[in-house]
Amino acid sequence: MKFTHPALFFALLALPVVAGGDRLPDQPAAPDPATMPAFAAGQILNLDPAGKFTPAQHAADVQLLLGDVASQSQEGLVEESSPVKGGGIMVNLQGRFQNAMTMSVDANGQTAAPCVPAAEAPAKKVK
Amino acid sequence: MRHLRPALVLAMLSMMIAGSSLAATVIINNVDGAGEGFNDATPAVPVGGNPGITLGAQRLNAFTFAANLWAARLQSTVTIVVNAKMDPQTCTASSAVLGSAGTTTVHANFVGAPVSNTWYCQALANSLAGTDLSPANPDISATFNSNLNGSAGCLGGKKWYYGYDSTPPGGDIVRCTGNHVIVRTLVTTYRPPHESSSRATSLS
Repeated sequence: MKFTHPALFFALLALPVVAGGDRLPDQPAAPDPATMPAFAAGQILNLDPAGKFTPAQHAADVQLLLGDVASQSQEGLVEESSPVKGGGIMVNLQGRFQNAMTMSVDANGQTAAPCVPAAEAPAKKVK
Repeated sequence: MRHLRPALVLAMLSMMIAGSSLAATVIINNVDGAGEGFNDATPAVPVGGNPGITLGAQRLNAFTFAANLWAARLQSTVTIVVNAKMDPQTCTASSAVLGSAGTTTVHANFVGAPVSNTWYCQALANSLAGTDLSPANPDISATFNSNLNGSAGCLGGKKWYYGYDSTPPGGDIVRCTGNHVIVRTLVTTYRPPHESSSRATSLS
């Protein structure tokens, strides 16, 4: 299971900002290729508003940090009728598929705090 | 079952995001036990507009403040209930879980659903349906890491900043974390859990 349209979420997050919420810089700076980390499958990268890629974080590491809340297992999840008339059907996710934020500090003391789409990232790395 | 098209999701979120005269109500259910998390009785000095005089009160105030920011910007006639707690979570000298949150249930094919055979997280589904589709469950479950308390072994001594003013002392972590995970939970739509599962009944 994957989140739909990851790029869309960033657009969605920007809407309330436009509506008057916390301010973001007008235009992120272009990333500096000299400071960009090596890319590899399964990495999670964070591009901050200043255009800097913060250290890569492997999805498997994130999975270990988050434990069950990052689980995207569908095992045991059951569709049931909503108790409300006209409520269609529902599934209790049993605490799984949560979004999370992690923070890491590199050797230079730089922090990175990527928001992890739990239903997406771990699946790419954990087999 | 298909997931939502971007334009449709944007349109729906636009409906859910409030104008100046619209709002939603977000209720924080403190589900921590006595003496821990949001109920930690350790004395604290009010900071950044947060009047709490215990660590637990400051934590709960800050979380409620973040929730209210979103309550003022969302449109829903159905109260959004968040079960929240602060528990010890993984934290090492170089990495930590700040917090996590997620919808407790997903819903499909309810009256008012813009697209059939599509799962909507509970808060969004409730807003679209105009009623609480799962009264027995909170809309969101959220947990934040209480280990971020300045201990040297946890991210080099970083800790949460509980002020409302977003101007923490150097290195402290601001409340935007809570904001971030909450909003992601509010707007998330899902592919069907049964899509690759043989255990659940197919909608088709």
